[in-house]
Amino acid sequence: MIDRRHAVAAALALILWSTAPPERAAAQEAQRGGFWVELGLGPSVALVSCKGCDDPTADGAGSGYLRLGGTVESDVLLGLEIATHSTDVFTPVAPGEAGRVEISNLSAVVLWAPWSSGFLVKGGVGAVDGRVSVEPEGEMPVAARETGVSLTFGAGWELSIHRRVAISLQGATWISALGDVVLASRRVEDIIATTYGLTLGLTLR
Amino acid sequence: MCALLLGAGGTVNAQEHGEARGDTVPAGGSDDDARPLLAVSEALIVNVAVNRFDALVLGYDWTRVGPDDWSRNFRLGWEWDENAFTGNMFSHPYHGSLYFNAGRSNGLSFWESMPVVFLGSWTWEHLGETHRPSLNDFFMTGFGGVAMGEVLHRLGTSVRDERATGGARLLREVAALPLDPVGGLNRLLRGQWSRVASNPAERNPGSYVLRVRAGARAVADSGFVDSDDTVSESPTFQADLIFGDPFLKPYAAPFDVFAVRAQVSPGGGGLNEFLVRGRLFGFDLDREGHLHAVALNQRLDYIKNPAHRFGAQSVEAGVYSRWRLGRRSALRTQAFIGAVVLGALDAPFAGVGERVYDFGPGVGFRLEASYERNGLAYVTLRGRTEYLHTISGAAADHNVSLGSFELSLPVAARLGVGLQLAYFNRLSRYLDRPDELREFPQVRLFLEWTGAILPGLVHD
Repeated sequence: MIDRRHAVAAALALILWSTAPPERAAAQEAQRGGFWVELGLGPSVALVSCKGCDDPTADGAGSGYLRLGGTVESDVLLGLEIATHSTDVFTPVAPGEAGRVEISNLSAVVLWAPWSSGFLVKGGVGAVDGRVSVEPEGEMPVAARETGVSLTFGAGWELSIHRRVAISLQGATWISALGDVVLASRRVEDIIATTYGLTLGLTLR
Repeated sequence: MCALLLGAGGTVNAQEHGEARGDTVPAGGSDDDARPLLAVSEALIVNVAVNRFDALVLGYDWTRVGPDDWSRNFRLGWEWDENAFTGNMFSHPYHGSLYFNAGRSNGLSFWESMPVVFLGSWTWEHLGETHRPSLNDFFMTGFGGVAMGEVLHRLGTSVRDERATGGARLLREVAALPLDPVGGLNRLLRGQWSRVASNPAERNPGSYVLRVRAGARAVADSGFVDSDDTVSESPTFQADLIFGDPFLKPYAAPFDVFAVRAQVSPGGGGLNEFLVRGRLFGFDLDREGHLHAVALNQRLDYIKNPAHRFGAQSVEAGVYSRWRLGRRSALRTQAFIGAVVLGALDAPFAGVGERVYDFGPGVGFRLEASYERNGLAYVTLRGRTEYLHTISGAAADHNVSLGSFELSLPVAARLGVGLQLAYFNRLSRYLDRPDELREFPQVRLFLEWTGAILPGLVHD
């Protein structure tokens, strides 16, 4: 099931990339100028893997982001993005346990609008703060925090509804490398959470 | 090295100085329009070509991929791999440079070529190997590919000469191929190997300093279990290229100013240093008297010798200063703080499985001071420290400090002797074992040749 979701997400990203119109001259018209701020929210799927986890779990999650920045070139934007995600199940949870992963990413992002159609590509890198918690059946929950490094990529369309306001639909992935997390006597190594999200955004520019 | 020299020769021509400004136009050839779809297609073709080469020529089993492997790779997701240091920290950035230059040679700018690199790497990691996609490869191919790609693109452009004809033209085009194979093949297919045209603006850095050195090196290791030093010696060749000068060239485009050091020690680790620092963005603070310029740089570090290994993809922000001492002399300083996007270093108990080094992000700073005369540095002091937090490998945080003293003494017109004393110190703080400190002093003695063009650095 989940491999199909990932395959569809990947195929969608490639299609978005490859089917946008090739006229580039008009791309020099800035989609945004000067300072801009953007807020987005939507459903996502989170895949949490770790060392020795042969069958990483994936589950539905929620993602949201706040992004703000400025214009570097007419078709290139630079900004900061704060994104948060949470999912209820993760890989090292034993039978009878409930687990939860909450992740916050702070990333420097580059947005590129190669054409004037409103099509945007996003890439970014930054830090991640993750909280992993496990609640064994009938016992008190144990939780641990860890920081690491993250990447984010995405693509989507932005549609102007006013001179200073736009809405967007974006598909994005956040790859969050948390490293090792110690949960009571258990050490879970090399946790990597990959979130695929579809978000609806509102941009003020 | 020959390519570097040839390229340097190509930039000496003073008639081209006027081209050094305003190189914001992407250069993929003299008459290129941007072709993003072709760039992406070529990045994917690079993947197929590398996969088939590895399968058919090198016989690697992990290249024999099919739908089952692809499905598994998407289902299991990212992991940290256990591959060798050189492959992960040097070969992958070079691989990434192929993707990047698919973008650059199709008319995309630096920023526009970045997503091509990451798309190329992402598709390779998921579809090009039977192994699970490797997150460290993705980092190194992506960020390293951008840094190495832009440097190789600019060096390739400097080696080529659109105005040359005949054998000299062919020689330059062939010499540029190892630097920028994708760009070279694109030019061949477009008939640009022989077409006479004007050179792109970015061909000329405005100024450059190239120092080529040959000599010997001794590296010591303070030892791990006991305090006995081990010392290894080897012949060593070193090239320093400073392409552009932040005080002669106001910021126009990423990597319009960059510096590269490459060091090769036959029998002592082969290519054991490859350091790149390129200006991503900058602006002048003061252009009269003492000069100051703010810069945001991207860095690629690769150090691998018999004593230690360290590699990183980083960004740094800080100030270049040139303090005027006399009409021809100055003290040049650099003060930068930075973030290591992902670093790698070896240490006892580091790594996981077959890998003997840790991966992690970090922060750091570096200071540099040089005494220069007529724009050439004769004495340089460098100091740098990096903190890395392991996210794959030992449960540890590492502090790495690097310092060096470098002296260049001119003997004849362009010839001189060089002495370099370097020091590498690593303190590893483990969660589950005692701290470990290790030191690696290094001595290098060289004969050196200097080629440079530095207009405007003599005060009136």
